[in-house]
Amino acid sequence: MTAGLTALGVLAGTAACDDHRSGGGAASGVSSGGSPAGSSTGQADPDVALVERVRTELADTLALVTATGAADDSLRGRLRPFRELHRAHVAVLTDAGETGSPAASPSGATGDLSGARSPASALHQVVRREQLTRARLADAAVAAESGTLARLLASMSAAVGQRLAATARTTEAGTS
Amino acid sequence: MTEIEALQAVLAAEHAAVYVYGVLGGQASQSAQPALFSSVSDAYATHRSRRDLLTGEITDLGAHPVAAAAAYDVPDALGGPAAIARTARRLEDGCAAAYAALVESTTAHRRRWAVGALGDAAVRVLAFRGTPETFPGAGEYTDH
Repeated sequence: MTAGLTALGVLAGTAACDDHRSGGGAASGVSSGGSPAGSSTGQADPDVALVERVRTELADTLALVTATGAADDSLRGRLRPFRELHRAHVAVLTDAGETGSPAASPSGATGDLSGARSPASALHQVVRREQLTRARLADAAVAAESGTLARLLASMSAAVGQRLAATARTTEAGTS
Repeated sequence: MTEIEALQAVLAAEHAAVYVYGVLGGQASQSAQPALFSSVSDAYATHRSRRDLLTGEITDLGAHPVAAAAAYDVPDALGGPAAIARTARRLEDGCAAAYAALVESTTAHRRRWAVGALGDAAVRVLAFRGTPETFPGAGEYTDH
């Protein structure tokens, strides 16, 4: 995956990291073509672990959304945009087409989804998970060494927030 | 893009937003389109506040904040709510892209602020009949 993300210009590598920490701007080592500086120095890129963590968290969220939609027909359509969003985000982070890296697998941390729940309760659980996902993506954006990766993660966080707001609008319109 | 360049680009986008939202506010009818009028008014206040904050930030960094242009392009035909909403969406999309660039060019607390502003712009688009995107402010990933 490292090679693929570097090809996308997402991972900065150690040299780029040094550049922006010394005040040269977070993008200084990335926007010039995203050269795999980390690989040339032989040092591990700290963003690789960050990307893996984000991929796992997105896979967990996707698993919850998918299971909730499968368990309740009335929610399936409303949750489809979230499912498609997370799949698109995971695809960009995985870049499996270029690297052969396996798709992200959920950690199983979403807990037991079995048992009877009302649609409102199930939707509430998904919304809370999406709010958490939005916040974690924002935190990951701030933590990223690469400016390019930070921008991508910030955009993903904004997309989740936007989808949450759209869902809230739909809910309000349906109850008013 | 350096941090200062990114801040200046965002300030330029905010100058444009303040100007154009001012025009849109004069075109939206408070009585006939209260929701649209309210959204335009809220957006104007938010962008004015951000403009002032950015001006202070850039000054604190020892640079001269980019000045507002004398005027900005506003579509001639702003006769109805659809045109007002379309113009507002275009403004917010531009601000989202500028904030995304600021995320890339900053670190720590300033980057966190930019992340929040990007998310805010993405949500505000919805108030102007916008539709959710997969990568707000970073549309090049959509075709990945």
